Amino acid sequence: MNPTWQLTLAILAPVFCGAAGMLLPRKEVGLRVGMSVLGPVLAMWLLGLFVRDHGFEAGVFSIAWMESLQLNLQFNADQLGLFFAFLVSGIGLLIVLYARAYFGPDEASLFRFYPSLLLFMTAMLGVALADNFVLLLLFWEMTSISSFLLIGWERDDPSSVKKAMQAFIVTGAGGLAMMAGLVLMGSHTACWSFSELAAAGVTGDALTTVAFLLIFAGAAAKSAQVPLHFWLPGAMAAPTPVSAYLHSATMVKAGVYLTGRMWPIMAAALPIWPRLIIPLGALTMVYGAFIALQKTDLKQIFAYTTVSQLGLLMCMYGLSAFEYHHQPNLVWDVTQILNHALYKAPLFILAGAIGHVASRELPELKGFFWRGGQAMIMSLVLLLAAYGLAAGPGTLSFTAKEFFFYQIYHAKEAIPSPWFWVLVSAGVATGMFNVAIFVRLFRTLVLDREPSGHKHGHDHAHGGGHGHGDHGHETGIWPAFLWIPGLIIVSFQFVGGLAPGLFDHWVLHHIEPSRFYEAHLPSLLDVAAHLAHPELPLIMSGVAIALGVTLGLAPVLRGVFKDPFDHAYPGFYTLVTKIVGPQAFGFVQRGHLGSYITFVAVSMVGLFFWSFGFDLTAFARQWPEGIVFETDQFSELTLGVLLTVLVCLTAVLLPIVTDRASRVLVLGTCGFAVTAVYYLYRAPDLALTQISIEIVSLILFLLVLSLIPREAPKARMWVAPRVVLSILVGGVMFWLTLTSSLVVRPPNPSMAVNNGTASTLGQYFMRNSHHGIDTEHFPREQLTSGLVDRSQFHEGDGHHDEASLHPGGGGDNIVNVILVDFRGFDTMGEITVLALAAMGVWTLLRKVPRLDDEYCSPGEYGNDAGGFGDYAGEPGGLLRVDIPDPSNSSGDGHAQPAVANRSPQS
Amino acid sequence: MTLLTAIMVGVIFASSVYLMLGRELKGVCMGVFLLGHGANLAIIATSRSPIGLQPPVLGGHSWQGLVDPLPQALILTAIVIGFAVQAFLLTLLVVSWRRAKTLELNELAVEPAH
Repeated sequence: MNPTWQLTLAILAPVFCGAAGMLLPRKEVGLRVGMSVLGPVLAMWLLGLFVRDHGFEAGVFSIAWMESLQLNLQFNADQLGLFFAFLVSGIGLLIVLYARAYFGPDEASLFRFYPSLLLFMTAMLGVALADNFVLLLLFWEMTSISSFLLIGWERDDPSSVKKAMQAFIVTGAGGLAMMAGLVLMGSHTACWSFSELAAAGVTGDALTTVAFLLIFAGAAAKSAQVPLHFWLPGAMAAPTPVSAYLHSATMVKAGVYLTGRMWPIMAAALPIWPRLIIPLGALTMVYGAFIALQKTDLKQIFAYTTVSQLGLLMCMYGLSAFEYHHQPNLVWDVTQILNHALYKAPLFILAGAIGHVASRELPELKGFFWRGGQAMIMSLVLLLAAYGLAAGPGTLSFTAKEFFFYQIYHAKEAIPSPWFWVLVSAGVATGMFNVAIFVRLFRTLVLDREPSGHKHGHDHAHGGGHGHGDHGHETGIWPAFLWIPGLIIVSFQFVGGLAPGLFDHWVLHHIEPSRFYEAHLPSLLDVAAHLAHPELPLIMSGVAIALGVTLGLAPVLRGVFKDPFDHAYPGFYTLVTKIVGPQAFGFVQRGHLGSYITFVAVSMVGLFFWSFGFDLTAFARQWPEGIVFETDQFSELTLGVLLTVLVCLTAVLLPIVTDRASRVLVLGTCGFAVTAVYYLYRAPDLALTQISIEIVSLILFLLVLSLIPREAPKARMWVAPRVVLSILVGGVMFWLTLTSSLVVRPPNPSMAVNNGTASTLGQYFMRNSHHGIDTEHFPREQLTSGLVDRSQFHEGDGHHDEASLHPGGGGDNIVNVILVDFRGFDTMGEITVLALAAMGVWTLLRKVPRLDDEYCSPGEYGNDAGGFGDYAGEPGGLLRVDIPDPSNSSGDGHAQPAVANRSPQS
Repeated sequence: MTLLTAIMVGVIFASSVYLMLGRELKGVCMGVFLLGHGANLAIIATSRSPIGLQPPVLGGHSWQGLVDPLPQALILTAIVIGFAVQAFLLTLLVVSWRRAKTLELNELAVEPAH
């Protein structure tokens, strides 16, 4: 199979399975689970086939899709991308099973849940594999959308919906910045994919830096970096399977992943890379861990540790801008990402499981370990995963954290001394907080054995409800799946920690591009050998563990500090929707036509003068030279002058005349004069159309005048400013018409190439409208399909000169040919406008509400549903309105209902 | 001829903007109709002076010596659409009088009192 299609199918498999699952009857829970399991399994199978055929370093595969939009199905199946794809589908498979246990046999929830989850899976696989910028953006936004759908799972819970919007707005705004950055990068470098960019290389010029900053803003928003991190704890309103999958293991890593994609291209070229990313990552890392310690809700704790870990990963990519032994100072970045997924997903899975059977609040979980077999095994798995969080020795996490400390250590020469030690402290502090969280969990669950009343209530204090009712006590195999996926995932932590050689052989060997550190740090995977020669990184770990245990046992820092950013979004929301928004709306949308027109007119005049630099002498210099008063056809010009006088006179009279019938006649006169001008311009079609329409609209206007009252003329207001503005607009239009008509048009080279000598569009139409081809010898079908060599016509037709005609429209009247042939779709649009206007007129005139309640209540309209039928029989029913009584034009007459035979219904 | 057309365009635009800035709905309607005339004339001015040229109809002649047909095609569409807008505006005129009992823009802009 074509490798590109293979990857495309792998990406699309989950969403197809999700859609197929929606076709199943709601009752078929088993089938539905099976179908949903099939999604990630198919994806993994296809990816596995791909890897078997092409290996882990296959490179770029591309199929042209929409090249004019720079959008191609271009995938980069390198180690980083494939690793992400396998991570997403692998954890996704376990999450599908876990969700079945979490929701129980709740048909409605599962029916809705699986398609959303599988849509996300497709989006995330796409993000991982896409190489093309636009394709990446497409999938990137899909992850935001599916995340929004899943966070706002409780559609009836306003707080849940608010959290979903918060997450969507933050990540969506980041996505917009990223789009701007990618487009800027693409148009600046002419490379529309990462692989092309890597091949071309980037320079550290200003535009590239700006593009990078914009892309990184999107990555930072997605990966919850301070100060945009607040959406992630809010996203815990989602059901726990979603938190475990999207908001810890996969989606939030998209930003980190993107940074990892950019790293080989930009880290060395852009000086801002380490200066921006290291501090931001370090701050996020410490801040997240610190706030996590304050929380008591399990999901909130793990959400903030996720923020912390994302900061660590960012910091890692920041540090990778430096060199160590002439190699990039990047230590097994994929292992770091994998490590986090391997302990954070189980933590969330178990948090949901324990919340399911007991509570998610730490104070209510005292001694949970001793509450029966299921509680014991759940606590055990949770503590194993938390041990990974604490980066305890014997886990992959410990190795990963050591790698990170090594990175800091190796950057010693590159970072000024005080900042280096700040970074070391940040690393130690983060480790310390994580250890303290583990110790606190252990102490609460196991050591605190005081009876706590066995509260089994569901926790709704944080993050709202989870959409599971009282079906938590299902029997059979499924309840075990509350913790089995967690156990499976967390076991890799210990395989990686205790049997590093095995893990390296099976996993890391394939996904880590850089084997450099094997040579330099041979003993790193061997803790015992490492202990014999402690370096700074090991000392850092030791200090972190010692301090962390102390902190975990000490009764300090519990719920003292609240995250001040919790108020960031609500404040912003209030500002926008309650304060700034209405103000701005009220300012722009005044509801007065005059202010809109003034705005348009003033901007037009202002822009016009601004384009001349407010230099009035420029007009004189630019006075077109082509103004020629043709004298040879004097009679025609005299007619032109007469018409001009007539048009100008009527136009000026129109605002001055007050009698309404006279005004309409003046307007009509103007229209007829314009018709004559069309005649002068050799436009018979225009003149014919205009004259018929002018007659119809004159009649229409007079008809309408009879339907509305004669109003007493009122004092005109603001005459002077109106006159000034009007004259300015008129002057601008005069100038624009004159200059744009007399400007010398350069011949259009592309038209000339395609069509011989035609140099303007009008000439193109002229040359191609004619039917003057010998149609006996060349049937029209052949002509239009281009089967006939056009050069033959020139000879056969007897036109050898430049003015010879080309086949095309098949008509003599060029204007008609343009309308019905060349621009047929425009004419169709025109007809559509007419139809819409006709329907609008019909709709507006159809109902004649009673005059004394012009703002009809809905009930009134409801009773009038068949209103038109009432009028159908009346003479002139459609236009039957109150024609004012001439003897009573002061307004009293309008109090009479227009249609007397209708009484109020309500 | 172009100069004459430009003068017409200028005067028509001035008059129509003046009318549209008014507070009388009928006057605004008239201003919009005038605006259509002005815009069409501005477009047809781009076909340059027609004097000495033939209408854009090929009667077996060569295409040289005809006026530019493109502005005419554009205007033909514009006239028809302008008529649709006219009809709709006039309907709105009738409907606003029926519903709101006023043809003053300032009064129409006010929120209805319940």
